Amino acid sequence: MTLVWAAALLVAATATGWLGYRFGAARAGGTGTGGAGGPVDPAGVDVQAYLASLTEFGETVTPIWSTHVESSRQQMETAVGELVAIFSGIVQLLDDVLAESQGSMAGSHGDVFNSSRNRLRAVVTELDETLELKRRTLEELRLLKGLNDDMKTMTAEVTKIASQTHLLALNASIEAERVGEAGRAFSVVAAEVRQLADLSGHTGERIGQKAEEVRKALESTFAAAEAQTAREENMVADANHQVQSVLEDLMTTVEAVHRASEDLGRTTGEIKDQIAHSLVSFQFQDRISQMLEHLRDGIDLFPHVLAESLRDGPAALHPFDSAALRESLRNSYTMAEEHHVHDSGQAVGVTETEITFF
Amino acid sequence: MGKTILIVDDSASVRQVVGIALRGAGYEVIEGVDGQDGLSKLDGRKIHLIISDVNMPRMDGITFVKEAKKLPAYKFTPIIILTTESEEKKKLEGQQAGAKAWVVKPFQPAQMLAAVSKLILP
Repeated sequence: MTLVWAAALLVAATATGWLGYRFGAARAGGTGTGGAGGPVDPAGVDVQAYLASLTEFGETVTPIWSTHVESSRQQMETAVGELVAIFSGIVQLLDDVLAESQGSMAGSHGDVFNSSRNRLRAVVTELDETLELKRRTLEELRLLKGLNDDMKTMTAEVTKIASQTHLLALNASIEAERVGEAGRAFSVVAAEVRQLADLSGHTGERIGQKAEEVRKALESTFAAAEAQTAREENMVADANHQVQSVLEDLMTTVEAVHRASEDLGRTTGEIKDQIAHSLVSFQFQDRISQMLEHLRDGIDLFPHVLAESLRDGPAALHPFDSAALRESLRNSYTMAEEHHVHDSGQAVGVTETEITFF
Repeated sequence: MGKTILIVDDSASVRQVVGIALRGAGYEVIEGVDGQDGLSKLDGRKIHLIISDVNMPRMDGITFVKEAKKLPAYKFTPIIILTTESEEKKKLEGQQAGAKAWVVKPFQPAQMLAAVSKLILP
């Protein structure tokens, strides 16, 4: 756009120079009259027609340049505004994602693992306690088996006593018979004792049989309980092993998820920072927009400068007041770079941030 | 609740860029599209700092600063001028109007945040 303005000035300057030369020549050597009644230089150029075309140029062409500049400025402002809005939205979304991710992962891998371990350990403890109860039951059964053995021994002793009593009663009966009539009563008692001994013997035998049945039932129950307990001990040991294995797997998974989440969070943060940093560069739009505004205003000045030059007609042309125009341009600048470009005629880069505290 | 900063700038992209830097540092941000709109935001709400451009339609930044300083509730609210203007004459105008700092665009977020942190009301 600077080129556009330069071109406009060049056209004006060339025209002015040409006119100055031509009118100088006309005044010095006399002039003819053009078709419209104006001065015509020796070469036959119609000066009035030329000035009219220059005026038309200023009134019709420069507004087009100005409008193009303004249109470009507005398009850039709109496009950059939309880009910034989109990037701002992305930054906001990344912020939300980061906050949510950090919130959900804050210490959660340890919490999840500890919670799972505690729950699984509770199950294993429950199994251990059940197994302990089984062991106690087994001990009770073992005790019961011992008591049954004692009972069997006692039963055998009872049977033995009954047998001896029977033998004793039999001897008493023989002795009573031998005594004769005097021993008859004693013989009756001895017979009763023998009968009681027989009864005791039979009862002892039945108790012995029952004790044996109880022993066999106890043996069977004890063996089944022992086998069951052994199986359950294996099951609990296996469960313990499985729990430990599951916990290790869980820890590995949770740590992997945590690491992945941390990586994702770090990458997201970096992307957000990069986008936020790139957004800073969009400040160029504000600067360029102002430069284009100043350029547009400068172009808009051209028709006025031209009109001012022609204000007294072709017979009294005024030279372009370049100094006033340059001063007007300078006064419109807001940036140091604009002043630098104006003075040096060279493009410059953006200056660093400058902060002044009052 | 974070501290509130009012940004007054006619460029939407500048408002957004400044807003991102400030929100990222935990500040709450409200916006005005020019000096007049900025004044309408000074409606009694607590504002801890104002950042204003200079060249704006309807009401320029220097006038906005002067008008803001007339409001009792915002008399002591620090104001940072954020502008492309770098002329000493303009800076003097800003200082006389009551601004506390003059930042020439383009700004670096870290420097802007340092200036905000230095000046913002407790």
